[in-house]
Amino acid sequence: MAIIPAMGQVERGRLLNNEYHEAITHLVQNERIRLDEVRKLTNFLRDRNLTTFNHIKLPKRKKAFMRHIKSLSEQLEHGYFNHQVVGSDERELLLELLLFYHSFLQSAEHPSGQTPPFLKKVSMYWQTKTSRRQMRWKIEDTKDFMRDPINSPYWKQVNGKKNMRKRFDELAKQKKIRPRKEMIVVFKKLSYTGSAPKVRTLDLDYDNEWSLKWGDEVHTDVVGSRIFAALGYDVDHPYYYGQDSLILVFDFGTSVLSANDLRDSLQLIYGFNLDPFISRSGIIDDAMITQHKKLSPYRNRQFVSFKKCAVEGRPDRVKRIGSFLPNDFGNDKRRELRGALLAHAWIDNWDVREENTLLTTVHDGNYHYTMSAVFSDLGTCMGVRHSTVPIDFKVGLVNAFEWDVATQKRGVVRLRYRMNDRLAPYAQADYSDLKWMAVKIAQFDEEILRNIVKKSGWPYPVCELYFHKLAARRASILKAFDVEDPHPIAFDRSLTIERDGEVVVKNGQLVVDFDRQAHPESFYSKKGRLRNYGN
Amino acid sequence: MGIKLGVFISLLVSSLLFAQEQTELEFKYTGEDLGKLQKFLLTSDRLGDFQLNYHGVYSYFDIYFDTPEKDLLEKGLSLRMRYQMKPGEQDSIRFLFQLKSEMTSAGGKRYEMDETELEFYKLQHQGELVALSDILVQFFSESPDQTLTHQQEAIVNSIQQWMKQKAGGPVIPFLGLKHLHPQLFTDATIGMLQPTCVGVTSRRRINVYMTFSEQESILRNLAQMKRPKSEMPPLFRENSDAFWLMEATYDQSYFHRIGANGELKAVRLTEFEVEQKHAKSDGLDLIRAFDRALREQFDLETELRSKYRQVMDAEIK
Repeated sequence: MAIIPAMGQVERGRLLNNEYHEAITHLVQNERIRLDEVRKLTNFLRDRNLTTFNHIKLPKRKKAFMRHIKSLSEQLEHGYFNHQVVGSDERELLLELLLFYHSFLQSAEHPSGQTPPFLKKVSMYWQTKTSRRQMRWKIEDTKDFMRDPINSPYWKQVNGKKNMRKRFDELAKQKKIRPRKEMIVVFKKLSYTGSAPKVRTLDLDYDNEWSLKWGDEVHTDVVGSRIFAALGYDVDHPYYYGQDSLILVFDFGTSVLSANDLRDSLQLIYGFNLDPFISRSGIIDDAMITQHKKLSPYRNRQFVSFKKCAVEGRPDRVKRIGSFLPNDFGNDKRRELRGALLAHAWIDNWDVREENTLLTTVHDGNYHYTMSAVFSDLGTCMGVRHSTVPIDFKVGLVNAFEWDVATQKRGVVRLRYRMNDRLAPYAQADYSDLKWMAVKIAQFDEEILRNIVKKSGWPYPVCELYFHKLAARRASILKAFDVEDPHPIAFDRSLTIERDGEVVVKNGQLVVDFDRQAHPESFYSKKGRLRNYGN
Repeated sequence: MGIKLGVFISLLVSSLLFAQEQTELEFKYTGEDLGKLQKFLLTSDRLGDFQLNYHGVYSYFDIYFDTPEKDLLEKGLSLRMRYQMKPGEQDSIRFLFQLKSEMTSAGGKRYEMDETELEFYKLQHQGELVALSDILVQFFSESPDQTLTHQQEAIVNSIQQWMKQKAGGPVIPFLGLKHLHPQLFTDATIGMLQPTCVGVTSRRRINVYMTFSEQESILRNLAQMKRPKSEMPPLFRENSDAFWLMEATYDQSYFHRIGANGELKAVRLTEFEVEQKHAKSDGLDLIRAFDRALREQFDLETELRSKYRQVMDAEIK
């Protein structure tokens, strides 16, 4: 039987803390694998003829996923036919198979990016309004917070400053995500999911897909994902691109052939006006090809470049299956998932729904497929504002990002944080789980935090203000949980910044709509995506 | 905003069209002129508006399986294990286990369920655990004469044992059989599958393409399959002006039908096939235009039958 934990380059870790897991008992009988039960799962996951389940349309089974299941199936069948006693490796495989099965079904029932049904919206609204009241924990005198979970597909221990700093890039490398300083991408197809405007594009080798996005999440997603990666979680890989640093090419034979087509499509799908975000557009000519040799295959095609945008790597090596099932299979007991609540609170991430968690299969070469759980879509953070009348939503509002997130009063720790869903691990998170995360947050020093914030692409005054606020929020967390700060990061609540003789930040507040031409979504205006950022 | 609903609908419709799964259109030919056609394909670089690029000979080794009652043949299906390679090119080696239906009309769709990466499957062979892919290479390294060699028979036995074991498992062609004919193809029937013919095909492959510099007005309305460039034939990796439209293959096969007593009967086949390689788009049917260009120059007949059916239909002298 193959040993699972470290296959190829991508470390999987272990799913099981101990030999027993209730969820897999029906797959084992008398210490042997129950082939009939296992085959119910593997046959279902590998049979492309099955297109519905309980009248629900099933998503397309991706090749890499099918191969991953085949790999699991073969290891289990080998064990069965060789009359092996079920040991910890087999139990790992069984649980992995079961998680994939349920994640696949979850994605059929709740496809990601779909507009939530009315009742879900009501629940999100209610949760947002009431979550602050739930964010309180009695201080416990316990050393339990010192217990680290084992490395698992859900979380990996990241030791040391260097590893924290490199973690996001290391993950990207494992997934073969290679962002360039200047990106050229080819339009692939329109996207119809989510509320943030985006399209699907390909790199010039057509090897990997990139989701190209505009709007208020282009900075926040970059920061949120990097912070979570440094804490040990797997994440999406968004990258910010500023003025003209990304060229989108429209190849022949696609449904969108020009910037005008793109603008019209985004307007109709998302109600989003792309015009203020466009920097240049036109036809790729000889002069442009001289400047960017890689454009030579696209002579006479149309292109567009932007004032700002972000791309998120969707590498061929990584396939998304469904949610990572935070509410089931004992995942609510995972310290690494419970503790994530505090990480969400630190960055003020609002949209924590199950749909924004992902179970993925990562192909790391030589027929090795590794399961990894991803915290996805971490962009709804860093100052979130909702409005019911008129209905609207905006993220990345630096003035809405409070200086403090945690307080301690009369033996109770409170978080000033609102989220839209109360997943089981967050509902069950106890003081020790959060303090465990507080200790992880304490590992951030000024250099790590500055590096992350710098990657966001925020203009200097906004970037500096965010840095001070993140440092202040970190300090408030450590203080509230009585965690000694190994790397105190200086911050100034009265921060004042002048640019070109104009006061931009005053007493820790952004006081002007800074450089609105270059930042059409605005860091100041409360008008969000549903009001076209006031444009 | 000045946006017309019509524009959006046309964008949506065309994007949905492009989003459809890419199904491959194929035409298959036999006829007196096949020899002439082969010479033409190997030496010419153009047929009408189409440019041709002959890029080598590949070898395909196949074993076809059926039940003792030839239920697959009866149902218009074929099931084969294939080992394919281009001599001298290690990267070209592939193994497939495929279930296919017969074509019912020229250019019609065929049901196809492929199992790739046979390296995953391990089977017991002469006391050792061997990869299915390795055992196939071993099988085809020997040439049968009147009957399969002892070694080949031993391999066939091992494969049959493996099929019995896997009949109820997630092997894609088996799942396909059960889906198509659940009453007929049960674990028990699948467990009875046996080899019915083995053969080797020498396949000459020709890229059929156009260039943007010559045919931009046609090509700008077609969708190039955005497959990774690393998976494209070298011509299209290196020459961005060239647009891959079709792949033409000229097959010369030498099969052995396995009789009831294990005796082998030789069957030779020659066929020419054209498969569409660009994404389907707005009705610009270049494969049919290529078909017309071929027929203007050569006397060709449409062949609908799979190799399996042709071998099993062949009259043995």
